[in-house]
Amino acid sequence: MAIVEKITDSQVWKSVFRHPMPKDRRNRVVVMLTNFFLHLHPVSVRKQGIALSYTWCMGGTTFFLFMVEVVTGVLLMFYYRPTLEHAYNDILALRDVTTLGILRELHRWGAHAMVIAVWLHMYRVFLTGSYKPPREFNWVIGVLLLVFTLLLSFTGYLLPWDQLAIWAITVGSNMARATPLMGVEGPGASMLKVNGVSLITSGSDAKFALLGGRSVGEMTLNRFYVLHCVAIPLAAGLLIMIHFWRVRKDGGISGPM
Amino acid sequence: MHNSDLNPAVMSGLGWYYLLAAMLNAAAAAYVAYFEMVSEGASRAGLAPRTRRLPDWLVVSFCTLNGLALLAVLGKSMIGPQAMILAYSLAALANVIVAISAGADAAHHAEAHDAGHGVGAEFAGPSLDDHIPAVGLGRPINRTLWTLVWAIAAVVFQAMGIVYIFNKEFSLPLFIRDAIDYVSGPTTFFLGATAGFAAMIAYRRVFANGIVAWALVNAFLLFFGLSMTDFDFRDIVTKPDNVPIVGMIIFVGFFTWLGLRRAVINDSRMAQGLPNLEELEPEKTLTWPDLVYTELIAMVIQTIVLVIWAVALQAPLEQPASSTSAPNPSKAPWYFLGLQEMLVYFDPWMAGVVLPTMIIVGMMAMPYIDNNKQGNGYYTIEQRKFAYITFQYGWLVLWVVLILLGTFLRGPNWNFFGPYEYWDVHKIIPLNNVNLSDIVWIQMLGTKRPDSIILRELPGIFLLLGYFIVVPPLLGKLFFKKYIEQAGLMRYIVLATLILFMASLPIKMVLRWTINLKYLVYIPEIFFNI
Repeated sequence: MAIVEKITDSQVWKSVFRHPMPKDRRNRVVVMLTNFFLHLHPVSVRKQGIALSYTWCMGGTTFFLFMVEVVTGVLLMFYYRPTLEHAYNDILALRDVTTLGILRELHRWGAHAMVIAVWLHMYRVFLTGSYKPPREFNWVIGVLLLVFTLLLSFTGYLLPWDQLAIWAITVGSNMARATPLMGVEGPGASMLKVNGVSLITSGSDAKFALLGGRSVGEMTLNRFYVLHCVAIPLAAGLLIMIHFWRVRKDGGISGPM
Repeated sequence: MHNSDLNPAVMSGLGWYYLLAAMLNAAAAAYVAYFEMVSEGASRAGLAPRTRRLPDWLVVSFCTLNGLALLAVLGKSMIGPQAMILAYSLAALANVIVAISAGADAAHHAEAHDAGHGVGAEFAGPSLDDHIPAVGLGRPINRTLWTLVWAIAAVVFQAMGIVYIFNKEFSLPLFIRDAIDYVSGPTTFFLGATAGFAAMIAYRRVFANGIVAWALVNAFLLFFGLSMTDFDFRDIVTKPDNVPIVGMIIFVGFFTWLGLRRAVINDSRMAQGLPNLEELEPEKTLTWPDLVYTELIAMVIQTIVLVIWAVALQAPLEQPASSTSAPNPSKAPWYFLGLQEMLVYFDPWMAGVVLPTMIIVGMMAMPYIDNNKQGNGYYTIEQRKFAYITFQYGWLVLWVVLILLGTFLRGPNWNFFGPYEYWDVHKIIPLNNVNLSDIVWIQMLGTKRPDSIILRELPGIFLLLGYFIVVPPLLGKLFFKKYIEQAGLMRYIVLATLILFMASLPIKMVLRWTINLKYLVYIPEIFFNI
């Protein structure tokens, strides 16, 4: 025990944890205020607000799964190369020979679970009317986060570069071709002409912008890789911060007004 | 065409599946027999202590038998080929013992309980041996009866499991499968889901009852177990990327029930002037430890579940990408299959761009068009019926059900296949859909279609304009007078537009099924088809 005390009394320990173990009421309050990770929470919460049968624990689950995706995703990025030459073989190797290839399973199943968790979180928020004032804007951010979750999952779908991947993305991106005015087969696009030259062609429409080509190819892989690993996670991360901040500012976990 | 249905791996899987189903029902029987049954929000004040307890010998023998079974599984290499049979028999015995003793004790308790309330003895009010139902969920259940029912269910499931584990083949009879395939189709499936949804809302008090919910769980377990004996059903359901959807069905089902139950209880409580469930504990508690520990435990459990899932099930990886050989059917990721299903009824620009945009915009607009101040922070249906029914229909029927349809029942060429039907690439469905312009000019007026595009499509354009311009004021006059007064015209216009877009899908479906309508407006010259 003497060693434990020696460690917890040391200058190093005290510089990290600025309070004793949260065993009494005062320190249970202090820990919430001084710890960076805990300060997302208020010091005290309504009892009914944290009842599992009320919250379903789905918002927290979503965030937990997002963190799982970030950690496993970063580790996978050390291994996987997003090129036509390597993409499929890297995934194959992850499945068959690579140590810790199970990271891919964790990443993929975690992604599916996250989509379901987001839906259930929004379902609960709807059923308890928690989107009503003063939380209207946080619901809007939540809808955006849903869109980002689906986009993250969708862009990740292409990366293994197998039949499942390219044809799912082909089916999905064929919709972009039909965007009104902006897709080559969209209503009204053929009317956008300057001196008889079409502005919207298969080389300049929404689908081309999404795929970086007329069909799913190497540029698509690159584009989806960057979207999946950098652009969307950054945007989603920003919105998550705002979402959490607004939960606190709008009165914490919802309950009867 | 039916492939050979059962093989040893499937039969052993089914054996263990029914073992689990039996264990769930034995647990349900033991719960009803031995545990306190004071439902949410029912008062505990003034209740006499309970006398029935889960007997120690039952706990010990259940755990010992299952422990021995686990040992047998772990020591498979030492015991030999019979180890799994041995393990199975031990676990099955544990289930049967729990089921039988729960049933016997429930009967005994009922007698003792009646004797205590018998002639001469003064009635002392309810005790924790009585079932105290939640407000609004009807009368107490007969504990003896329902213990026996779940115990019998456990024994039946266990018997089915033993049949499979000893390699006796039993498949869902072909005529039943063929009958189910015969009646299923996109029309029956969608209308059935809509009818089920309406029944769930209308009979929500019945549905909220735990007994009914557990009966539904058993029905699902039985349906799933029997269906897994079919090769084609199994082939689709066990595709690795379809496994999350089975999980989604279970989660969405459970939480739909839970939310509905709490809303039913709250509505009854508020009707009686009682505080709702969310108001029962208004006091605050410290975040450390109450919330922080809950979060920690949740994270640990989720990590374990995710790791087991990842170890047990390999992520799918098909043949390397080839832009020349398209798989048939080509499906989008499962969460977009509701949108892909809409492609049957709308062109890509509607199904893939306009309607998804409307879904997102509509969801964002929700807090601004829902001006109902009630129902903020607690479960309720009565106080926000319109919002509840609209959202639930959109979410459960137009989103979840369409995903199930798109995943499990749409095969090659996006044709419909019954749950037990072979996905035949050459299945031919006659397409005899016609455009509105053909119906009006050729079938009704008996002339040839006019050459002018505008004139040709005038009926469709007329209907469409009517839908978006005439219907909103009409609805506003008839149903939304109060809403427009309170929320203003602007909000009403947004609301009406969103509702019209949402309703356009079922309307188009009905038009397709009844008059084989392909497009209301068909102007392929500018890709404007609706």
